[in-house]
Amino acid sequence: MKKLLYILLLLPSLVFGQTGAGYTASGEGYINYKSYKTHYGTGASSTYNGVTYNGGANSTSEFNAFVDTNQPGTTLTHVGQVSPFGSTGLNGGQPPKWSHDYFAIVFSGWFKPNKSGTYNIRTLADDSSETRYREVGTTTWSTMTYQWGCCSYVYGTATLDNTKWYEFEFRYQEYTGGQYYYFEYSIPANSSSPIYNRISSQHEFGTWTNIDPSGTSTTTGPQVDLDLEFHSQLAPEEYRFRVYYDATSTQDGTEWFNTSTMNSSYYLDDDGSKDVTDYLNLVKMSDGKKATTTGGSVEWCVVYDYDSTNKRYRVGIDKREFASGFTFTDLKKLQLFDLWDDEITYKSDDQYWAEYYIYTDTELDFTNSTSSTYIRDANGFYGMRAEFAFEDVEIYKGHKVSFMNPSTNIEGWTAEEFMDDYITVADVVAGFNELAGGGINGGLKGDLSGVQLQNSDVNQDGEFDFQDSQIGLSFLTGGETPFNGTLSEIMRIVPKSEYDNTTTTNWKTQTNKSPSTSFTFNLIDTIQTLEYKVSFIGDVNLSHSATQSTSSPAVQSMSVRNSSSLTEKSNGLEVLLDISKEEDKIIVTLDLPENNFNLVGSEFRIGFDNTRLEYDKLETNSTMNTFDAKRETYLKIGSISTDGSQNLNSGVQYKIYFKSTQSFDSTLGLVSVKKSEVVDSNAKQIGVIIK
Amino acid sequence: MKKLWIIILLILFSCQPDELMLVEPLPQYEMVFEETESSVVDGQEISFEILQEENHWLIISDEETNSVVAKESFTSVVGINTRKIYTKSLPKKKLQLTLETSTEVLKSTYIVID
Repeated sequence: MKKLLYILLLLPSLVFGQTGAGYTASGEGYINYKSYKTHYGTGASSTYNGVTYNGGANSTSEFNAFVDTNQPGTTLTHVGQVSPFGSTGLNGGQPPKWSHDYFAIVFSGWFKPNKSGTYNIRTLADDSSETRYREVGTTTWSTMTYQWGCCSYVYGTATLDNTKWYEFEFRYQEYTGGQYYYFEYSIPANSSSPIYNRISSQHEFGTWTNIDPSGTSTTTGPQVDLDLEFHSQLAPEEYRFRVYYDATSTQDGTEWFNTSTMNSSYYLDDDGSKDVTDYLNLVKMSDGKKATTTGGSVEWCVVYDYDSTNKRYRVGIDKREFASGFTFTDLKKLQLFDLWDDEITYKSDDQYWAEYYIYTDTELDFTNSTSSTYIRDANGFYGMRAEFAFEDVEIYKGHKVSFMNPSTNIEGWTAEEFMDDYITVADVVAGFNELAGGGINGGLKGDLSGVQLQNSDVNQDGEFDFQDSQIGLSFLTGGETPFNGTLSEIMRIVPKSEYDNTTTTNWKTQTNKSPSTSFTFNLIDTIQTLEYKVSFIGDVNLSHSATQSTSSPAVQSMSVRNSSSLTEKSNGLEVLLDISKEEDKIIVTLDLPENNFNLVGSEFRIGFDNTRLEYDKLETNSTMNTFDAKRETYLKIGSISTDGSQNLNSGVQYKIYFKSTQSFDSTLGLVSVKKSEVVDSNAKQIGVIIK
Repeated sequence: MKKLWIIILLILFSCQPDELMLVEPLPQYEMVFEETESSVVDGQEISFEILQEENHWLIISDEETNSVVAKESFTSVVGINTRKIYTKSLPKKKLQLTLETSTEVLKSTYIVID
């Protein structure tokens, strides 16, 4: 029992406090940590892209390799926050980690020192360590101390300003044996004769935080809210989804892992929204290198004149500026003085130069650069006296939200019955009407909006034609259809802006016109609301799909008005129901009276107790195309005139026969009329009351 | 001695077996229309009293659509009538159940299908 309680208490931290699930930064008084398993956990060396690490770190670049998750021997095992003052922080270096050997720890965050001046710093680590910092807003690390090997005090200095924030990265790695990291300092007043204090709650050194103090962001990381708009007929809270992250090193979307190690799934709220921040994988991954520059004395860089045709600059960097073994295709970002600080594209490299493109619609302003003294206009190119440094670029992994079939949580839910709900005789008539409405010149009638046309393209060939309407008719009447009964064949999750701006002219070229139960998104360090609208293939009259916003004039003028008019019911037609028993047969009779509605379609859904009855036959006096589509627990019966040449003005009677498989004294509830729908020649629904 | 005889007589009479009255249990009926609302399960018997022998209808309606969902016609007997209700084909919701003749609605209640 004691062990069980211990496991239960430990479980939340195992699941949420460590890998993958992310954490909320608390800010002041906390620093971040990352724990890595290195050397495959066995002591073996690891190689990635020509860079190998082995044993203890002997340089900054080798230490970079230790904590590069692209290295096959390295795995990020834990992320979180700790106090800088305790043994899990900078006074011991023991945050959660996978084991006591073959690991690396990286502490990071920001500090503001208590004093201004030159601090004396010393650190004690087992094994190699690096203690470095940089002023917020700058890109180059300054090293306080470092040690390649084990295990004595190493000393350094840091000249700091107590009005400024500094970003820090203190890291150490352990091969075998003892493992620890201690940070100690002596205040500037004692710089000539240092008196070292080991960091603790009595000797804080300064203010520490793991929330960016620059104030450029109100959050410390991504916050993602989903906002899916469903039709009011549907219940968003019945829709369940999982959150996945792109598990590939190239982020090509070929392999996705659930962000939860428990393979968890989540429900939308009843308004279609959900805050999924807690379900994200916030562990960053390496994404190549960024080059930063400072003014120097040698022209290590040339920028050729602007190529206005291709809207780009060609940039050459002398290969002597790169470290040995550098993979030139890995360089993906460049900060070039104050001229450019963004992505670059690898072009080529030869014996002397590595060349890249800067793509920009706006030309660089060489003349007014604050670094113009380092720039020489050489008539055709610019020579840059720039010294290069390189740093890792880290990015969040791609994410995906994927919806599950409601059958996994709603008993008895089937895609077929759901489709029977929204692909009805009214949709089929509306489709045929649209196709036949172009007159002798062909073409479409023009009643349907862009979203309706997308839904009408049932066979997904990029056109709406009679093939689609025939499929709809076949589904209605119980024939063969391309659908196999999964939500992924019919559900469309479309970005709200795209959905609302889909028109009759652009519907074929819209990105998200095909069915999909998932969508991908990238994380950024701020709040994102992902707005989508949900629609369904085959839902021509949008009876179960989100409505388009009326903000778009093109949409407002035509589609919304027409789509809503297709689902509005008017007037009322009384259909007489009789249910009788004759010997072993139950007979359901529906009498639709004479009328002047010019009805070209009718559909009735008759439920039956399939444990006690079997469907036998349908008899009718209708001269129109009559159908009886048998499903497991119900029957769809009705009539349709797809070309509108016939109608039900003279009334119609349907007699539906069921055979009983056992004897009954009572029959109440063995059969029922579950739905009814009639539609006129303009695809407009007429209200039906069963009497 | 007189007291002894009294005691003996008392003992003798008290040892005679009791006479037990066997009572037939009264039939139990679910008088469905006496409740304003009741949950029903598949195959459940429902009972109601009828005062006149004629053709009656039990009708299940959905107030949301104002439509009849299911019905049954039967010839009644005067007194308590019992019928079965099957729920597998009925929508899972609150429905109205009425007892009617060709001219009037006699009784009404709500049934909940789970």
